[in-house]
Amino acid sequence: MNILITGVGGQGLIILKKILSYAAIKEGFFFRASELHGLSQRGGSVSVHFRFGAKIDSPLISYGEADLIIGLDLLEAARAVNFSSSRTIFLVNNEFVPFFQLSSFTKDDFLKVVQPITKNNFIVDASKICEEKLKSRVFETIFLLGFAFSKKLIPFKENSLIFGIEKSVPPKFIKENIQAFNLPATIEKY
Amino acid sequence: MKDFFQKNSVMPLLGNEAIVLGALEAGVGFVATYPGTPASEIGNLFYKIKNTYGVYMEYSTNEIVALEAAAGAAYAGVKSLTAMKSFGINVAMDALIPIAYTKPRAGLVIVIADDPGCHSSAQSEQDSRVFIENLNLITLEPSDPIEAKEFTKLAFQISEKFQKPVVIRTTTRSAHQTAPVKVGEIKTPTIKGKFIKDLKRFNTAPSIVLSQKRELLSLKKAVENYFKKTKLNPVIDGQLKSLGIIVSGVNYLYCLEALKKLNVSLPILKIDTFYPLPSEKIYQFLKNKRKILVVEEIIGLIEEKVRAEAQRKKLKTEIYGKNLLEPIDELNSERITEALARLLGKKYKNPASDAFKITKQNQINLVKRTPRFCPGCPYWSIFTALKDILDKEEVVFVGDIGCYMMGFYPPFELQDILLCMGSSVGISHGISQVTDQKVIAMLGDSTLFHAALPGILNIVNNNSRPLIIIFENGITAMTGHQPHPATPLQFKTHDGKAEIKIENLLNAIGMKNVFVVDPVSQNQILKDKIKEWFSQRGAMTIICRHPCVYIDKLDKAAD
Repeated sequence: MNILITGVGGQGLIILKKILSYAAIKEGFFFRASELHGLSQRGGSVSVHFRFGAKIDSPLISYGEADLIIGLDLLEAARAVNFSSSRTIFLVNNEFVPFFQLSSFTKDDFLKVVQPITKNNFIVDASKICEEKLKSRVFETIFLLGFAFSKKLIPFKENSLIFGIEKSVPPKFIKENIQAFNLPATIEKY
Repeated sequence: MKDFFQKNSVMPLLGNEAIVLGALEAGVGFVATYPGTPASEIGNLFYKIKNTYGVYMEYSTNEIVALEAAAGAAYAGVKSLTAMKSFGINVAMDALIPIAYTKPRAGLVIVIADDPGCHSSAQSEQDSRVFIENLNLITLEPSDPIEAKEFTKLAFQISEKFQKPVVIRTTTRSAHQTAPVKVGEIKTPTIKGKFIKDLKRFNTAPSIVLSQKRELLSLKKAVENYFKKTKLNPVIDGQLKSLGIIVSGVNYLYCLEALKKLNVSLPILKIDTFYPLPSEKIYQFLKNKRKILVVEEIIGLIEEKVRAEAQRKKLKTEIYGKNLLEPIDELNSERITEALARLLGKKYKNPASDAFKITKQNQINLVKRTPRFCPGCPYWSIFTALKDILDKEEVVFVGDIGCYMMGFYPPFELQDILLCMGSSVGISHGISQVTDQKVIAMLGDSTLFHAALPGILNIVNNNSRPLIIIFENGITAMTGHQPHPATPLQFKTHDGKAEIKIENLLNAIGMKNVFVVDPVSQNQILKDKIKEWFSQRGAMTIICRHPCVYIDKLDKAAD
C-alpha cells in the first residue's frame, strides 16, 4: 500500500511516519519511507512517502500510484494531485497555513484541483475539532490517523497503531495522543 | 536516550541513523562532524546517545577540522568516523588527499552525502564521486538503511584490513529513507589510544610521498579481490539474458520498480563498491550481452568505466547511460522506466499522465510555498531594519549559507549574490575594492567560524570597507540547531568548553567599528548604525546577537 503524507513543517508528519513504521513492523510487513524536510521548520512543504507490504522496492511512490493521500493542509494536499488516480483516496485536514504569496486556499479550491481525478475525498475539520475537544491543534495529525483507521482506509490493527503511537510520541503525551486517535470514531458527523 | 538501540529489536531507521548503528556495532570510539543536510542526522544522533554508548563526539568547526580530528584519532588507534554533506568534501579536500596516502592504525570511515536534485542544497548539484575516484579512496554505496548499517560495519573492517580510510557515499534518498533495521550487538568502544611513531605511515614528506602513492595505487587490485569474497556487487538474474542493467545506490531500488512497470525481467549488476569497481564482474556481465543500461545519478562515471572495460576486452556490447538519463536532477522509477522502455523499444504510458493532463487542462498552477523565518525569529528584525533604512538599488547585498538565506524571498528580497559557506566576506571585499558601491556582507555565526575568518582577516589587512552583518543566533540553526563555538554554554551538552565572543575575536585582529546590538530590543540602534555606515567611508561590523527561538531544540523542529 502506498500512503503519501503532505503538509507544512511542524505539523507532525515525521511522527506519523514513525507510527506507521512501528505498526508495519508489529504486523510483520516490510516498508520503505522517504521524506523531504530540508527547510521544513521554516514553513516549507514537507512530504513523506510511506510504502508497505510483503516486498517493497522503491522508497518513492510513483506518480498516479498513491492509494491514500493524507494532507495536513489543503494546498499541500492539492499539490500531491499528480500522485493520484481515480482510485486514490484523499483524507485532508480542512485547514490552510497561509504564506506571503497566498492568503487563502479553501476546500473548494482543493476540490477544483482534485475532483477531476478522484471523487474519493474526505475533508475533515481535524484542527478545529482538536482545538475544541482537546484544547490544542497539535493533535490534528493523530486525529487524521484515527479517522483513517475508523473508516478502514488503512489496514493496520488498532493495537498496532497504538503500539506505534507509544513508540513515537514523548511518554508524557501518549495518553492525550491515544485520546486524539480514538476521537474520530466517537464523532457522529463523519 | 537509554537503550536507544535495543539489541535484537527491529527499528524503523533513517539511512543516517542506520550508519550510526553500524558504526556503534563496529565499535566506533570517536566521531567528529560539521552538520549539513542530508548528513546531519548522523551527528545529531551521536550527540544524543554519546554518553549512553560511551562514544566521544564533537561538532567541529568545519569539515576539514572534523576530518583531521577523526584521522588523528584513528592514527592513535581509536576507531573514528566523520560525516559531511557534499560540499563538506570540498572544504575537507586539502586534508583528504594526503590522508588517503597514510595508514590509520584503527578504522577511519568518512561519510559523504550528496544531494542529487538539490532538495536541501543551494550552491550546486555536486557529484562527489568525481573526487573520490581521483583520490583512490575505497568507497561503498548503500541503497537503503539496511545496507547503510551493514556497509558501515564492513567499512570499518575494510579500513582496518587495508589500513586505509573508507568512504560511505550516500544520497538524499538513501540517507533520508526509512526501513526496518535489525539491531545487533553494541560493545563498549575503546576511546583511548596511543600514537606510535612511524614516519612512513603518517608523514607525507616529499621524500616519502611518491612511495606512499605507489602503495595506494597497488592496493586497488587487492581490494577488488577482497570484494570478490564478499556478498558485495551481486548479480541478480533476469530472463532477457542479452540485455542488462548496471546500477548503483538507491537507483537499484528504482530499477526494480521500473522493471515491474514494464513487466520485464533483466539481469542486474548492482554496484556496491564505487571504488574500486569490480572490473572482472563487469566484464563477465557485459560478455554475451547485446545492450546494457548504466543507471547512476548525475555524472556517468560508472558508465565511462564500463565503456573502458568493454573497449579493453574488445566487446561489442552497446552501452547506454547518460544518453538516456540526463546528467541532472535525481532519478526515480519513472525516469528509469522511460529509459528502459527506449532501450527495449517498448511503448510506455506513464499512469500519471492523466492527472498531469487534467491539471494542465484546468490550468491549475499551485503557488509554491517559499520557506520563511520561523515565528519569533530575530532575523526578521534585521531584514526589516535593512529594508526600512536602505534603498535596495543603492546597496549590493551579499548573502551566505544559513537561515538568513531566506532574506532572498519576499517580502525582503535582499540578496544579490549567494555562493558558498563564508563567501559573503570575500566577495564583498572584491566588489568594494573595484567600485564605489556600498556593499553588505551578511553571514551567520556558525558560518563565520566555519569559513569566513580568513576573509575577515583579509578585509582588515587590505583596509576595505564593506558592512559586515553577523547574524548571531547562537546555534547552527538551518541544519537542525547544532552547537558551535559561540553557543552559550548552557546550551552545550557536549564537551565544548568555550563560549567564544565574536567581538573579542574581531577586536583582537584589529577590526575597527565593531558593534554588538540586539536586533529585537535595540532595533533603533541597529538602524542608526546602518545609517552611520551608509553615510561614511569605511568598514563596519555589526554583530546582531539574539538567540534563535529553537536554540535548545536540537533537531526538534523538524518533527
